Amino acid sequence: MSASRTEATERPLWKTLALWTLPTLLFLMTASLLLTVQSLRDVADSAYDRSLRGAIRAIDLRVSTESGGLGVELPYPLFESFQATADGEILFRVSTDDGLVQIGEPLLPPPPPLKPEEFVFYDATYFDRPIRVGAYMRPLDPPLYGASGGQNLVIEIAETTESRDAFLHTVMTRTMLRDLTALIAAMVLLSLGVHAGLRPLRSLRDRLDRRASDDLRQLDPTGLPREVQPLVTSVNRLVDRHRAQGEAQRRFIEDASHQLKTPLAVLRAQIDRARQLDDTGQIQDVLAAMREIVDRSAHLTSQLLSLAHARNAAMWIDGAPDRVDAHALLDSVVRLHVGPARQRRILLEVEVSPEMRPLHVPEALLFEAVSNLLGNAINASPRGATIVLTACRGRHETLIEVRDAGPGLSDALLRQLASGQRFNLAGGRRAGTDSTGLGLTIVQEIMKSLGGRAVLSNRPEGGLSAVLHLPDRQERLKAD
Amino acid sequence: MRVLLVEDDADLASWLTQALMGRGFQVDWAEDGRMAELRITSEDFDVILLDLGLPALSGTDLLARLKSRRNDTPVLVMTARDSLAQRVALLRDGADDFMGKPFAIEELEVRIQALIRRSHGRARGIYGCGPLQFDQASQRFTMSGQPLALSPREQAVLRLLIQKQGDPLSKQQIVDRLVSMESDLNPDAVEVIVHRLRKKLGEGRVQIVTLRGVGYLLEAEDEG
Repeated sequence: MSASRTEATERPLWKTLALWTLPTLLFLMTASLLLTVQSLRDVADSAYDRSLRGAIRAIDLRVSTESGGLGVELPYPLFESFQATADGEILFRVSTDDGLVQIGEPLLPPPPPLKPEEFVFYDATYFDRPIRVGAYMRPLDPPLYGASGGQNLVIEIAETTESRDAFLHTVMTRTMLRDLTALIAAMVLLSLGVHAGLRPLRSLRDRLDRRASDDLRQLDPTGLPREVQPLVTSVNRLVDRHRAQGEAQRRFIEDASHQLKTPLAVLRAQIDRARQLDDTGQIQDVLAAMREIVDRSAHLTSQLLSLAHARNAAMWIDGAPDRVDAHALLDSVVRLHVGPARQRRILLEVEVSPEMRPLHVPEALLFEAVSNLLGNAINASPRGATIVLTACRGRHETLIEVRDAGPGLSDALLRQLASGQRFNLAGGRRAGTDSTGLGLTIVQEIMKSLGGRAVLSNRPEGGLSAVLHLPDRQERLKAD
Repeated sequence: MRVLLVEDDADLASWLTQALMGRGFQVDWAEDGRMAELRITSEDFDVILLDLGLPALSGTDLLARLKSRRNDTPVLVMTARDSLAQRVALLRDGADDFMGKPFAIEELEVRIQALIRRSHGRARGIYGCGPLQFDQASQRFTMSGQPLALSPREQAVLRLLIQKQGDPLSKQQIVDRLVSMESDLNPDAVEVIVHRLRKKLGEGRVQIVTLRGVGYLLEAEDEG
């Protein structure tokens, strides 16, 4: 995981949400502000322009051409009230379109081309001051004295724009303030919402924190938001797995302590008995019996440890397992056992089918399993027998088989092993062997941790067949 | 016969020493790896009994040091760590034999005797398997004292087998080891050579055993 990714995952939730929403909100607000300004300007213009139009009308009504010349009686009261509300200066010009007559401000910029009977409003500059001008043109009837043909009367009236600018400024400031307030309110609501939304999670954390370390009860998911439910389910699965492991461990310790203490008690009794004896021969007998107990408990101890090791390994299987060559594995197992086997003239043979592929399993565990089976087979086989180890491919699995020529197992023991019953010293002790029955439990435990299984059966032609089934795609440790 | 017992548990060391002395061995005791190393470099022992979990210098490290210095005193490892994979690794790392604790004193004695016999034979260049003997100096095999007439190839294969007693040799291993002297040797040829060797060894007490899929093993009948 890269550093930036870690940063992103450790960022508080409200910040993440804010980073997602803030830019969009800002963009939307700016856009709406710009639109607002535009439409406000239009509204302001139309309102102000209406008063300009009124002034033009008033002037127009007071234009007289009866004298033959052009006469205007200015509506001063109107101008005054106008000036008072507009907060600026009022300029006017009444002229004819041929430029023969001009009354009023001669330096107003010339109007754009006008059509008769039409009001036109436009922005212009007058001595470096922005002004708004309204212009109106109508034909003069009759034309002025001495004029040739149709003559038009042009009325222009202008006001400086301080007033409408001030109006716009005020409205914009208010709008921006309102938007900013809304933005801040949104952020506050967001963080409050996140805080409130996370409250169930915090209480879940508190519940977990308050738990005793050995409390392996399920978490109650009621009252938690739906989004958190899968998390609770996962935690519960984990708790279940721990409980199962703890249970297995407890059982193991119980069994182990029973099985390790019993021989010690026997030894203790034997020593006490030997101390009462004077006869050397009898003492030798007791010593021989003691030795048997020691041998058996030594064997048992090492098997119990292997079992613990297999269970432990099962818990820690992860990462990439080894690539194991089946032939090399069987070969090294055989080499380990060849000494004891040959002492009883037992032949060990290996058959590996040519289509075998490398196995992806932890080598040490599989070695332990095969070695246990071979050890059992050697113990069970009569002198001069042949034991065959084979590896071949099945349907989506690899099969490793150890076939011996021994007496096989009793149906009761086979059933017990097939049902996955835990080891039992009394039931597992087979006549004529020093087996504790633990070896097969170890094999089963290992195969379980590899996602496979061990299948034992008596062969019709005599002897035991132990087959390890290794699936190609190992199912990873599931919930249980 | 002098035995160096490297063991940190005083109880076990004391009882083992008594038991071995009762069987005629001369036993020296080293309590930790460092002391054992000092004694091995300054004195001669016939065999070293090595515990793995030692203070100061672990048994595994001591073993590695001995092997890197080409000290060929045979080493018998005694350990309570008896994971099978570990056992294989130990033998590969140069231990000559291996015994898991606890063990029977009789078996320990047998193993020590075998190790000493083998190492003394090796020192004199003499390898034996039942009545069959190989003298490295004269490069000659004898069967019950009588010279055994062998072709160079037969001799080479039998020499490998007698030197690697107890450990099966596959055809390929034999080919690999003899490739310097025989460029055209192939696994099928090895089969033929072994067949002829069997005829020459006869029905006597020495046999070449075939472990199908594993390899050949030279065995004397009275061994077990």
